[in-house]
Amino acid sequence: MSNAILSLRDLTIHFKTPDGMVKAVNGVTLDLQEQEILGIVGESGSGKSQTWMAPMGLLADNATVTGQAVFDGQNLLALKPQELNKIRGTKISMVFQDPMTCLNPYLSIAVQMMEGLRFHDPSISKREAEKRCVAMLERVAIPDASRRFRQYPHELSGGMRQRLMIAMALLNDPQVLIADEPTTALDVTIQAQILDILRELQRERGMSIVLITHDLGVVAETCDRVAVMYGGRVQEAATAQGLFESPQHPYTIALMQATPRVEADAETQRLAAIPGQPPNMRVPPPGCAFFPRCPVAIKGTCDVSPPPLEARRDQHFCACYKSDAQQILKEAEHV
Amino acid sequence: MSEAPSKTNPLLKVSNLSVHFKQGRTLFGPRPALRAVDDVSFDLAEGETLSIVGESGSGKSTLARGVLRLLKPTKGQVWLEGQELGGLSGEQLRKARRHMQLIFQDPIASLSPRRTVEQIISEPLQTHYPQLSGAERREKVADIMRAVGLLPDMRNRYPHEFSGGQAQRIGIARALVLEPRLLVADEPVSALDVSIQAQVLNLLADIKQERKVSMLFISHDLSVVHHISDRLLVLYLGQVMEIGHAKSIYERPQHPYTKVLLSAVPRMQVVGREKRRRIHLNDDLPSPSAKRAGCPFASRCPVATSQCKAEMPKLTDFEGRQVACHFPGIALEGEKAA
Repeated sequence: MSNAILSLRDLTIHFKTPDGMVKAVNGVTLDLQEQEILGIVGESGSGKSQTWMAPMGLLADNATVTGQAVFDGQNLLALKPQELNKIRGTKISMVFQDPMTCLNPYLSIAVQMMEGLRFHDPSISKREAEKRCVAMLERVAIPDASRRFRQYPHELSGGMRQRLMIAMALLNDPQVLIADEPTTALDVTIQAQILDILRELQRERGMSIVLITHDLGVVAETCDRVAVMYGGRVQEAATAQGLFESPQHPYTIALMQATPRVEADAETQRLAAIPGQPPNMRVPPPGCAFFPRCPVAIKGTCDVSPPPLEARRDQHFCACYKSDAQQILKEAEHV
Repeated sequence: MSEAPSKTNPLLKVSNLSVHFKQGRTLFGPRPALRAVDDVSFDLAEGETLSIVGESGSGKSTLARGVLRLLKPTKGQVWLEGQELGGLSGEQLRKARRHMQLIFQDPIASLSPRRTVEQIISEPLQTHYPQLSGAERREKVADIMRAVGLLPDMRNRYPHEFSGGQAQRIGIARALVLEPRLLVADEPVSALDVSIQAQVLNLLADIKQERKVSMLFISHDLSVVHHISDRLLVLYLGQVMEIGHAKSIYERPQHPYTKVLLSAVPRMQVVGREKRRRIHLNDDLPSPSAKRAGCPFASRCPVATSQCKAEMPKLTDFEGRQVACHFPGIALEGEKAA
């Protein structure tokens, strides 16, 4: 077993809004291991992004955070911004969905890339910084890197911009990269390339990656381990292979059945939709967040208190009172 | 065209449709036109769903708008039930519009925030059937709301009170209330979460079955398209690369571009992922206004030759479908020979 590099301990994030408290994340305990790609899957509002914004100190001002995010023996949530600045951008970096909201349209790529590098290490000469930036651009397969380095963000295509973001995030050789829906805005052909680059870079540099996505296919293609989130909690966590071969949680099973696949039999046109709506996190259900939509829910149990995340087998954790949900749903599928 | 006329007349026939956009002038003369849709032809039979797939910038939405005559095509004709839309007067075209309706991508943005669900759904009725009484209109609205899975009690609510999936149902109800023959759905589920997306896709599949409506389904998502299409049209820079029965294209793509697209779709299968071959393309779609003589895909195609760069391949019959490639069925590097 490898060691945890970033540990979330009972993380809760609530947002104060005029319409009441939004309970976005409700007690997430999760380890990011050394040298792994950890996938975080969930739909909008599941809390998957906020969970990882917290350790970076990027939550909105109206957020209240409790719990811990331990990195290198320090609780990141307790650090002052100046102290956090020594870690974010150098030891932990982040890549977002839309590169254009992260890039300054008025500044050349050269200025923006070198800023990050020299902010954290002012001793680097300009020439040395340039060399490292261009090499990094080449590493993420940006053609004609030294020319691109002098250009402005709008001169790059969407796929190239996202590769630029990855290059910028990796300049300081971080131990952890948090990638929040990095390929969602891109076409499939470009997505495949970016996922391959992430996988290669992870291996090459021995870093850990958190890949936040709504797309189970992206997880299956890329991740070593997966945590499935719903209603601000981890509902199931397992190795990627374990999760896709033997999903345990009724939500995970339902999500897999609702996902259209190219490799499916073309005759089976209907998808197994999940009835109802995701929970309103202003008034989350008192018990399991999936209770109102769950096909195997037990009244009087599941709607009273949320089930704890418990080990079902080696490296496979599930938060469900119904331990035989998988068998029941499997049988139902074949009827 | 090489397409043989079908036994029965198709509901929709599009022939040699082009939509070009002028792009102003430079000091040295006019800029080349942006060829968003270039010489596209296809038929759509009654009750059939044809999906148009391609990357962003491939001209999918422009093609749909050209077909509906929301944009004036530069060239080509569109026949709906034997009537050529280009030859119609404004009033005649407006009448024809009741037979062809559009569903949009962004469910919330495509509904007026200041109107109730009832007003939104009944507006097309007021436009096209002004003779209906208020009571008749209300009844039709209630019927169609039930048909798309909305409670008629919700008629007096406003769009912001609905979730994305419900709002998309309102959009679908508005399109269906006129009982159109042709439904054009432009990325109708792209903005929705997977669990809700499946609900809406199933609804569209039911509508297709119960109402025998023909559908043009536009999407960038090959997995979604797989669950709804009878036939598939693969568009690249405004030109048809491959068109035919969806099942056979998914099973045996023949155009290199279709192969690349299908290979890039992530699979929910962990075992063997290291060995699975994903064909990389050299970067993004080129500009649709760049001058080109040959195949539009030649600049990114892994097997392009000098012939491909010089000469545009014609759409020709191959293996039970039509493919626009000088080397249809050619194996790409690493691909198992068929």
